[in-house]
Amino acid sequence: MRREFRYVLPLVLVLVNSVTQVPAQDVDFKASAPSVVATGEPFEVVYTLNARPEQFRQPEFSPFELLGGPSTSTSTSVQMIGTQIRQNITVSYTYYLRANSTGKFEIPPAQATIKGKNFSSNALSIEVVKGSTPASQPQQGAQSPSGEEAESIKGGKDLFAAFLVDKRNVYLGEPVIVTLKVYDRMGLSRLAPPKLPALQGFYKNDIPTPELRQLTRENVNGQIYNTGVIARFILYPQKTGDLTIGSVEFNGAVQRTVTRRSRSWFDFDFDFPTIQEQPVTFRSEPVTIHVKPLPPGQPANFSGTVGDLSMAASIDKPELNTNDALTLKIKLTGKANMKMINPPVVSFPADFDAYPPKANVQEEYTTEGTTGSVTFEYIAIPRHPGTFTIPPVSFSYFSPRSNEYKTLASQPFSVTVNKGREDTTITVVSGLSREDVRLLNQDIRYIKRNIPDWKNKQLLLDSHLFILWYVAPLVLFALLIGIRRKTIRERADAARMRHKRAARLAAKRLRKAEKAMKNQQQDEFYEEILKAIWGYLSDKLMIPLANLSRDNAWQALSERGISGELKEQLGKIIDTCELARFAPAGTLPSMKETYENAVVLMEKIDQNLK
Amino acid sequence: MRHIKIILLLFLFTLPAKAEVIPDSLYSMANKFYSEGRYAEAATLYDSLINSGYTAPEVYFNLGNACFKMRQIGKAILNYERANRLKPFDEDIRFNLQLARAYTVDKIESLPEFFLTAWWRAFRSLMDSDHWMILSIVLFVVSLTLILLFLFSAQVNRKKIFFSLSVLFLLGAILTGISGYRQSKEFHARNEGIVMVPSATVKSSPDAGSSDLFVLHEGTKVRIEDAVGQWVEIRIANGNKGWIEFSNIEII
Repeated sequence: MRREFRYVLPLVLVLVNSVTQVPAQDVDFKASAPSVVATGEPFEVVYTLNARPEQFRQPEFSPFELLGGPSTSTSTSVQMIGTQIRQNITVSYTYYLRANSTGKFEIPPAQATIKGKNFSSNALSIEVVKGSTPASQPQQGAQSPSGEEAESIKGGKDLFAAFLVDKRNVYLGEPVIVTLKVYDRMGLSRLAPPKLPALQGFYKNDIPTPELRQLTRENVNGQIYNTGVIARFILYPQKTGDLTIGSVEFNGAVQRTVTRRSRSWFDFDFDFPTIQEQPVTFRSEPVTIHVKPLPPGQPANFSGTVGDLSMAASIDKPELNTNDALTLKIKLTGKANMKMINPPVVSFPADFDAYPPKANVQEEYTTEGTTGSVTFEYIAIPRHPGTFTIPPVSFSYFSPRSNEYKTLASQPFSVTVNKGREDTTITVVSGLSREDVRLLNQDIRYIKRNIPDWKNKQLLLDSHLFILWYVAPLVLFALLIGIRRKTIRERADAARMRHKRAARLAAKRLRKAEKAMKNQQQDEFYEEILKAIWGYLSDKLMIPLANLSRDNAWQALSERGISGELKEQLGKIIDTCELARFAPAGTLPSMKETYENAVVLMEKIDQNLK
Repeated sequence: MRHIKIILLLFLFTLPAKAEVIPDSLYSMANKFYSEGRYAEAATLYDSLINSGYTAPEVYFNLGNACFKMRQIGKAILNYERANRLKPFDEDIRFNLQLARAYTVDKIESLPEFFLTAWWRAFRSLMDSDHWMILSIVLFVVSLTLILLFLFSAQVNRKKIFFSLSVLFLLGAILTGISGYRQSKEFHARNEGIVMVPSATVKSSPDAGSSDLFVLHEGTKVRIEDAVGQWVEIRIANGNKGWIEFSNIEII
């Protein structure tokens, strides 16, 4: 009894309240006993009921030896919930037994009658191992020098801790369930919470473990140890190779009996035993886990998930309006490290504005590993009406159980997008509904469908007649030049002829004038003189008679080397001739004088003209 | 007499029409096959059109597309090149040719050209032969007109302007004429080929026993410079030369 650590035996005695009754269907009838005992060791079997039985029939305990009992105890408690008062009663029957032979034995259920109904408890299975003298006792005696109670002792075979792993050879990402357990045969009475080692290369999820209150007995290689689970966790190896879970140091205390010898004044030795606590330290052994890489042949969309999963995919509505949000949910359920699952890729139609998925993880950590689910919520907003298909979403993982990659795929979804109301364009982020043509993929341009011109292509240069295109303008050009040349030459010829004939024509006119003079025909005379002068100037200077004036004639004459004196004389004769028609006779030089002057002057001009 | 005329007329009209029906329907059928994704059948029909002499750029282009869809990159490039030769300024042909080239294995750095040569080449590639020649004739005529104006003009200032302009236009006519001529030479040149086998070894001499120089892959364009028996001497864009078996390439 003393070795039991914080052994709780409620011995609250009797506050009888006969009113208390528990409904028959809620009867709880339980038997409890240690699962492992040693031969020769006394132990207890307790039957607990939550109602007072009219009759209790104990089972056959053989081959265990019944040392004593039953000792009956009853406890009641009153609970007030609102206005309701509820009384609970606990009745227990305790038997003291001892095993004499090793093996595994069963104690059949006990029977109880409550309100005329028969109930039976659970059966008990007890393993009996060969009894040994409890290890703590002799050690304590041998190791305890008097008066040095504060000295710290080390754990060893009788007090140790160990990491228990469910497998030591795993794939990358495959969970390892680790249990940190303490084994005691020394009477551990206190244990400080240990500092767990840094777990490098692992991702850790803690499995909730109840606070250690009581050690349980366990058969370890034929020895009975009191064991307790300190911590449990799930490790996900994140890299390959040999990964080590480091050792943990524990600080605690053991209860031990020390025989203290005191010396009296009377020289009388007096031994008396006392129970005292002694500090103890012990550590666990490190554990190495071999992590192997995942086998080859990974699917394209594999992203490192290891476990066993199932997938469900759904969309919230198969038909919606443009600019309304469409939600696609993908739920992965099963065993895996849910937090580390990458969302599967959903290829929404290109016209949809897709947003990154939101993940909702629900995990539970048990000794089976991490179970739970992760829900990915994809939101996409169609911008244009039409019927679209979202292709099946696939997700790949590695199943360590079947040692192969598995791929889950959803069904494809068909979405009908109707044209939304016009005023919903305000939800469109970028202004109006105009948008750049997005280059989705590079592909060749489509074939040409127009009926081609079947004539074989001929270049202009392939034809020898092409040169005509150059020759023809050239010929035309030459022709034009020729015509031009000819007309120029002809005109030049006419002028030269007149030039040559000028003097002769002038002489002819002068002779006419002479004839008129002889006939005393005054008007005719002056006219002929003028005609002779102007005609001569026109021919010689190559100025047409119609264009000829005194100004341009004089200019042309000075250009051709006629002096101012000659021009003056010429002017005088012309003036005389022009005036003579209107002026009375006698005021002007005689016809004879004019004639002679004109003849002389013309000769002079003819000589001097260049 | 009247009947004979009508019959004659009918004959005249039906004869050319009948000859055109066959390629048109073949072509449409090939296009239909293509649109249904039956590229092999489409390619066969396009091929038969070309073999019968109906060598329109559209047919080469569509055949190139069909080959591309069947991932016969070498044949696709060959046909795009042929289409491009016949219709050098078609945007679709150029685009698909460029895209198909991206699928070839050999990445050959072009030899840097002397900048004047490069400019000259770029300049004359601006238009095809026919357009150059038409432009040349127009410039020539304008130049002649200006000479006439120069000759007939009386004022000295105008004469100067007309003369210099006519010289300018004459030079332009000569330049465009040469461009057109070069372009027509290029059009008729049959000295380029495409490698049609997945990989072909280029040898140092026209002899299977000679040493290997380099390896070319399907779709690469080569320039043929010489031929001896079953061997041709080729040059690739980076200037490397060597001998290759003629069966490995196909002339564009």
